Amino acid sequence: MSKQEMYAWTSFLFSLALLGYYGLTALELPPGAVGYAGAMKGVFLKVIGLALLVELVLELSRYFTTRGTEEDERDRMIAFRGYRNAYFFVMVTLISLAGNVWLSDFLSREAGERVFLALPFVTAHALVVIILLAQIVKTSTQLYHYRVEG
Amino acid sequence: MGRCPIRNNIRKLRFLAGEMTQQELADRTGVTRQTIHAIEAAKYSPSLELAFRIAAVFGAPLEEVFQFAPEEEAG
Repeated sequence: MSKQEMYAWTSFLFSLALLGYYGLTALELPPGAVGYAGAMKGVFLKVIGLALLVELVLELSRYFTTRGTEEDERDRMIAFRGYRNAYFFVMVTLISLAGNVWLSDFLSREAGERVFLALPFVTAHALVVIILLAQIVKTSTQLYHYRVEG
Repeated sequence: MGRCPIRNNIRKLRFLAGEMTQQELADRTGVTRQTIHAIEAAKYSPSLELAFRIAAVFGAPLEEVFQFAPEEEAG
């Protein structure tokens, strides 16, 4: 496994755990699920800590290891594919979000209805989730290509 | 993404070059060992520059190292 693939793995797990932790923190959970959510938060925090630790070790190893190239044209090409897919994801979700805001505004003026994402704080949550999901899309695309191309 | 239409003789050329390792070839061409492995397995098509670098390591013309085989990709 190359260093760039390791970075992709740590970034993927970090984003996934952060998304899980954020979801459990931001969502209003029913009283019965609070204990379960607390345990899951602990797991997510451990994953986040582990991912950061591995990244730190990888960064430190750069200073003590001089052998070989760490990133080459194949790594860059795979990264480009990840960014491309993440870009498409961000564009689609942001357009959907903008459409939702527009629709909400229209409905509230015409019929006094409010749709879910009209609330500003919910939109803010949605934006944070979009950022984390975009990172997950990017890294999972990279991991797919690293695994498929051997 | 399947196999790419560029075949190569890198494995054979490494053997003829005194069992040169993938890591050694990677070091001499400025890429990672994983990239050499992917090229050898015809899972990644190298850039023209890298193809020339690999051919230069073996002291062979480019067409001796790489061959274009689009019919194999279709089949």
